[in-house]
Amino acid sequence: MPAELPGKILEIQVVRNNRLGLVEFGDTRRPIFLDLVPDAKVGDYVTVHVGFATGRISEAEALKDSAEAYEEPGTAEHDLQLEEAGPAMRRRVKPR
Amino acid sequence: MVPDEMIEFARIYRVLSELDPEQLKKVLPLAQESHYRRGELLFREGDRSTHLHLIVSGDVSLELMAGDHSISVQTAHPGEAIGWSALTPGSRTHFQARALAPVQTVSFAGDRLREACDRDPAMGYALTKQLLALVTDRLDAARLQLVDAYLTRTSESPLQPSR
Repeated sequence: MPAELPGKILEIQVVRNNRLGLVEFGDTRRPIFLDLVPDAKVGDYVTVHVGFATGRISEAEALKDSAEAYEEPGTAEHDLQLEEAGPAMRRRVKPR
Repeated sequence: MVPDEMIEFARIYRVLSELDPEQLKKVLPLAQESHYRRGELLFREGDRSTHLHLIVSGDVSLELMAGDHSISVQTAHPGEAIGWSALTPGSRTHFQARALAPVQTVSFAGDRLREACDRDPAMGYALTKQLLALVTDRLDAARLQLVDAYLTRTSESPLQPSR
């Protein structure tokens, strides 16, 4: 199952034909495609995979998933990759 | 976030930009994020071509091996796809790809992506159109680089290019 991480939508913009959101993952913010969650609005929590929001989740689920991310470290190699990739990826929920 | 950053982000995923939500749902489970350290090889020249990579961040040098050293042929940047021959059954890589910085890609196993396209030809066509556009960009860049190399060489030579 692909790794997914939870994030909170801070802002929504339409770029060309795509609906993009600025999504917060802990202390990092990234643009994310929202085309698969057309009902999602600012303030909602979504699960994200490879730059796309794949579903909406409750705030409680998002916080639980975030907490698990810190309790479930990946392999040493995986952690190093996340370290090099920057803070956004260090908040990944599960290792590959 | 300023719109420019959003536009840049959308550009990186250009190859998926024409897929409708149902098609995206078929493709995204096949995708995974991959990370490479500076200097690490994404693939070697002559390897079986297995993965299509969309570069999300970092630059990748495409190199040819000459004896025991490599010659950089081209640099691929965020928004470009490399390893697109993975969509062709049985093909091998023509270059080796080396991360010039920490590199993040979204990668697809070529055989699984091909199977998905076979099951949904409309989706395959939408993907192929965008991939073809990326390949065309790469060919244009390679052509410019060749012209540049030719002009540099001829300016150092007593022979001048004919007009």
